[in-house]
Amino acid sequence: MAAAHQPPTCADGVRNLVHYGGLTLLTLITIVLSPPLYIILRRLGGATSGQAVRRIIWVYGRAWTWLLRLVVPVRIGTGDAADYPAPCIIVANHQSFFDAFCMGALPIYDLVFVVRSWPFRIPFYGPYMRRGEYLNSEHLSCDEFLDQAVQRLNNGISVIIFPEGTRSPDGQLGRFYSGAFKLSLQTGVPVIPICLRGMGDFLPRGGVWLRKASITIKKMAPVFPADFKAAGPGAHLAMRKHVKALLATALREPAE
Amino acid sequence: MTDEDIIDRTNAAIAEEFELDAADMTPEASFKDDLGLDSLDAVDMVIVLEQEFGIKIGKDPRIATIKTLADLHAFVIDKKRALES
Repeated sequence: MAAAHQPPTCADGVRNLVHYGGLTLLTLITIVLSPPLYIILRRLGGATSGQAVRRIIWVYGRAWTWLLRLVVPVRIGTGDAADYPAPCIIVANHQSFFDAFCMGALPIYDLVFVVRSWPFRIPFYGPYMRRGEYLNSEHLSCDEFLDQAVQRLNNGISVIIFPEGTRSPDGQLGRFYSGAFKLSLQTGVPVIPICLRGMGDFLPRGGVWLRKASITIKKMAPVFPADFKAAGPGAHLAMRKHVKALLATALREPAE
Repeated sequence: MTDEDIIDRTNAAIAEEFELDAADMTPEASFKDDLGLDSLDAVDMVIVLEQEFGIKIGKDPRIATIKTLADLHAFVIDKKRALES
């Protein structure tokens, strides 16, 4: 639940200056270092073009999580890479523009996001997203989305989906779309829920001014599609409701 | 089961499944523009209605012509009556 807005304080000013200044610097450094890093990853690491770009994006996200710690308290409980089946479908609740950056806290980096059209138009980010083989949910039919997502999973790439499809306007968990769960049932790939708390307080939808918040990024136990097969054609609906209930419960837990 | 019963149950099932506000469930409401449902939701809607009424919709081509809630009501009533006859 997003907190009621308090008048901006001096500390808020410092918080915004450090965060946005740091983010600008981080972005410029990433632009400069991307070409050599890309070449190193391709030539020495044997990465494909997509893998190299996804690795660079992950490093950028991971660096942002360090920046975040400078401005607000952050608790990260995302476990180790061994805790994530490869590949997996990661689903997270969505309150803030910076939720996607939080995925830099994950210990796995070969990830593609399913996003709407507008992020592809963001300067600097758009080209990276295209080269990273992200999926544009607004340009794909249901069948095309599933085909392309299956292709990514078959190549060992994990898929990140915000099942609400958009940022919550009030911090409450919104309606979940079924795509992630249909994909899980179709492929047998497990879903890993990630609970993001405090992001709506930090930067709610429609806002620019960052506020004090206590942020938690927490990995939950994998949810396996086989456990829902008994529901027949409605298996993905049952899985969707189960995962939403898990995230709703996690969001209601008292802050540690 | 009267037509009114079918309409009420259809609305209740759709509202529950897609977390819609009952106030938005007007006959002229467009699935895409007013209720915000997409093509993947249409697939889910078929499953929900099949389970709710015990009807078989499958890939009925008339599904593609359903644009509003009133269209859906007429379609479900027709399916239900066909099942009963």
